[in-house]
Amino acid sequence: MKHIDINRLLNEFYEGKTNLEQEKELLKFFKSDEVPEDLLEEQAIFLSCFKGEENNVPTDLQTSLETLIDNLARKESPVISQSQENIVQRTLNPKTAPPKFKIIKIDSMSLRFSAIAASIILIFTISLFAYRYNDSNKLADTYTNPNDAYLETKRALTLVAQNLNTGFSQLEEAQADIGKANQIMNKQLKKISKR
Amino acid sequence: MDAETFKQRYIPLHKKLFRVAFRLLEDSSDAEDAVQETYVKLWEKRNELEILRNPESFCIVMIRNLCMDMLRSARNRTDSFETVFKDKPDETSLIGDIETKESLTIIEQLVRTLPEQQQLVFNLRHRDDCSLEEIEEITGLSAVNIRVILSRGRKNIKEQYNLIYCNETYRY
Amino acid sequence: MKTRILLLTLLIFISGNCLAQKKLFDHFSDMDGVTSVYISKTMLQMMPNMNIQGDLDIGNFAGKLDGILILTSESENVSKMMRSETSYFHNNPDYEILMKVKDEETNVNFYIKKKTNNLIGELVMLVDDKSEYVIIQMVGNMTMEDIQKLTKSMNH
Repeated sequence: MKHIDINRLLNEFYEGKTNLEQEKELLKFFKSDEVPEDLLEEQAIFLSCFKGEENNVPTDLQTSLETLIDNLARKESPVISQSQENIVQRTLNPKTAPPKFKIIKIDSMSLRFSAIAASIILIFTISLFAYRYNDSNKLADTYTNPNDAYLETKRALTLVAQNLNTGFSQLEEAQADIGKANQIMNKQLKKISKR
Repeated sequence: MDAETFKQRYIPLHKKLFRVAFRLLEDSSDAEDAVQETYVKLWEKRNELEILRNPESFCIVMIRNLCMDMLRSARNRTDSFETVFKDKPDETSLIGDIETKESLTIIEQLVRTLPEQQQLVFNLRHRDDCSLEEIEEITGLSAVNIRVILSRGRKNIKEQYNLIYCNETYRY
Repeated sequence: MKTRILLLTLLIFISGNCLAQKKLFDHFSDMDGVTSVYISKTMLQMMPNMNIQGDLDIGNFAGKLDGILILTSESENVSKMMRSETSYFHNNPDYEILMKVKDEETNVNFYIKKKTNNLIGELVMLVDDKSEYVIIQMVGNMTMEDIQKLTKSMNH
């Protein structure tokens, strides 16, 4: 590994930007004989602090887990597990059925994007409705109970009808008057024309 | 899925899962219990696991949630992850404050001077071999955040190390 | 977020064609001391079958409506305000005066807005009772016959 590359990698390391592979490369380098003098201190730090994987896993854990699974499998009766398998095959075969469970990894980046996209859509929708209907969304039913609405409607329509009625009946009376007047006039005209 | 396939596919994960559990619970037998419990759950959900894009990832999330539940019930409080692993303001303690437990190496003691969050992320990366994605899943922090925390942690370690093993030439 | 959009959509559907009433509503609704009642087409359709004697034609008429808006003043001052504001109908070329009835203390004005020569989109009744002012606005698809039928049903 070239000296310049190592320094660059080291800088990125201390910026938290290296991935596991790059860090392995760094370790490999520091374990080798090729470490120049100016990096000796770094080597010491790396070999003591950043050396990585520790194997403190209990050795019997694997076997105990294997036994655990075998026991679990045995507990389920072979008949049921077989039919369960069939059902599962039928319903969960990824090739024929749409997958029921899909964990889409949500990292904060995609979350942020979704949040931004959702906000934009919401603002757009609201403004679209607002633009088209202005404050019409203020207009909402006063009554939630149809019976109440009915009573009020009846009251309103009755009022309207009564008032209209007054008007029309006056009109009828007037028409009747005019009719009478016409009759009288006709009579008189006839009398005049007969002379 | 039968037992053999399940074992083949998921038993190899147990080391990683144990390390994660141990990192969170800080106790070997608790971690073992957590791993056992997780495998029981995984067995029960084995068919659903098959349909996942990333079942390994799911397993890690599962054991992490289990550990958090265990921690919460142990404390008898409902602390969220963030309060359990709160990042204290960026202070690293002076050498004088380092507890000298005999079983701990100097490096281990150094790591313990770090703020809790930096400690956790550092350990997950450098002792548990977790990838960035795995650390994200376990801590719930964003990738950007984790990089910053790693950066600070590593720089702190370097600083502390230099203070202990000071050289003739001054370094800032 | 989803509930908000759903709610908005619902409101709009419920309010139906309320553009016509929107203007009137805007004009008066922001005034203090005005009671407003709004009944939508949906609500009108939900009402129990108005087959009681004498109400037969009211039911028929109500079915043709898209909405009813009733504004009532609560005090004399508010009545004054409403009275002055109703020049809106008088001066508006869209509104045709149908009838004016003056009866001792009460002044009643009817305005209609025609959609076509035979179809009436809006019927507005203004009742000025000195102490109380009432505006009833009915929006929908009515014909003159419908209105006449309505008055006839009153004669029972």
